[in-house]
Amino acid sequence: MKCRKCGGKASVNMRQHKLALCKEHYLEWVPEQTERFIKKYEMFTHAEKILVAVSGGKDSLALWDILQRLGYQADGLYLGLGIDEGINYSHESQRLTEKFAAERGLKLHVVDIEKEYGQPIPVLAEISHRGYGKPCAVCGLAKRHEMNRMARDLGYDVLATGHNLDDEAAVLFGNTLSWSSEYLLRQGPVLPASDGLARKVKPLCRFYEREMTAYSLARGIEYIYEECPFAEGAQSIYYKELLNQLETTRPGAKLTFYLRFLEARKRGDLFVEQNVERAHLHSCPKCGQPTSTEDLCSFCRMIDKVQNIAVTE
Amino acid sequence: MTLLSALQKISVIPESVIATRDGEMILDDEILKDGDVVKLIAVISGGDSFTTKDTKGH
Repeated sequence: MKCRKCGGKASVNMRQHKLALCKEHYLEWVPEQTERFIKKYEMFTHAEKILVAVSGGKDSLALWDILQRLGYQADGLYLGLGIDEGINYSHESQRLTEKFAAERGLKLHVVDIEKEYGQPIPVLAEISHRGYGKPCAVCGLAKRHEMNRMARDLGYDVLATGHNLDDEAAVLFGNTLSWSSEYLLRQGPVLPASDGLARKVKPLCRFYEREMTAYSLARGIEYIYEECPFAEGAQSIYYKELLNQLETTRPGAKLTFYLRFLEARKRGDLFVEQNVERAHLHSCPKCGQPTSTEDLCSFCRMIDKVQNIAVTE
Repeated sequence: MTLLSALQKISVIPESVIATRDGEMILDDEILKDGDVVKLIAVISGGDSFTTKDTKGH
């Protein structure tokens, strides 16, 4: 297969675009397209300060790399979750993230959950009994809380995450299977800021996971190959595998699924919004972040419970 | 044989991997020779955003 731009040997083939490119032109194409999506979805401008949530994985590091290449003011935030499970998972992902930042002269904020709140994620999950024996629910809660806290406290205009098209399609698929209209109404490349909540954007949302892997490899980005040890059997991974089977026989199916959804929702073809009750939000008395619960937000309530149990032991 | 037929032989979905040989990415139509060592890099990442919203037992 030949590169469409120069006719040289292609390194990446994107069947959904009927486009094959050599390594050099691929490394140009990805940032160009990212810039196109940043503008199309009005994610942020060059005047704004961006906080990139980085995990040490291929997507978030690739995103940070691309934003730097495009000349955006982008600092990183790494959350130390304290997950070991015999492979030193968090330790290794932090090492790779710090190495990445140091090599490029990028500013990285590090938040260690155990240092901040007394326990790492797996222990918080066990003590709080949230999440059916897996720490994923507590992990998600903590990450969203901490990302927002740091963006707000450090004065960033926008929070960027490395979610790719496969992530978006899998979430869309799951929410469609259960017709979770509240989530279906919100999902998209941009979550606007609201009282106490930073704007959240996904600049890579139109790139396939395979393309971001290719980008990271082509750029020589050293990322953590291992998956989170708790991810085994995760539903989102199962959905991604199903969608990849579909994509194999119908190239472009994943992209079409996501893009046509966004278009149909924008046209008003999908939901009758007035039937969806909006949650009334108020500020959590402890951390100040918006919450729909009556008193403390879910995160602070969980931390309170954990700290009370620790005190009584 | 091509990379594609090799992947099909071991029941690996091409969409879920990136293949490299001697450190370079290769495509589905690449001809593989006897003795070639091909590295398959898993593409799928992530974890469960659905745990709390789904029924127990999954």
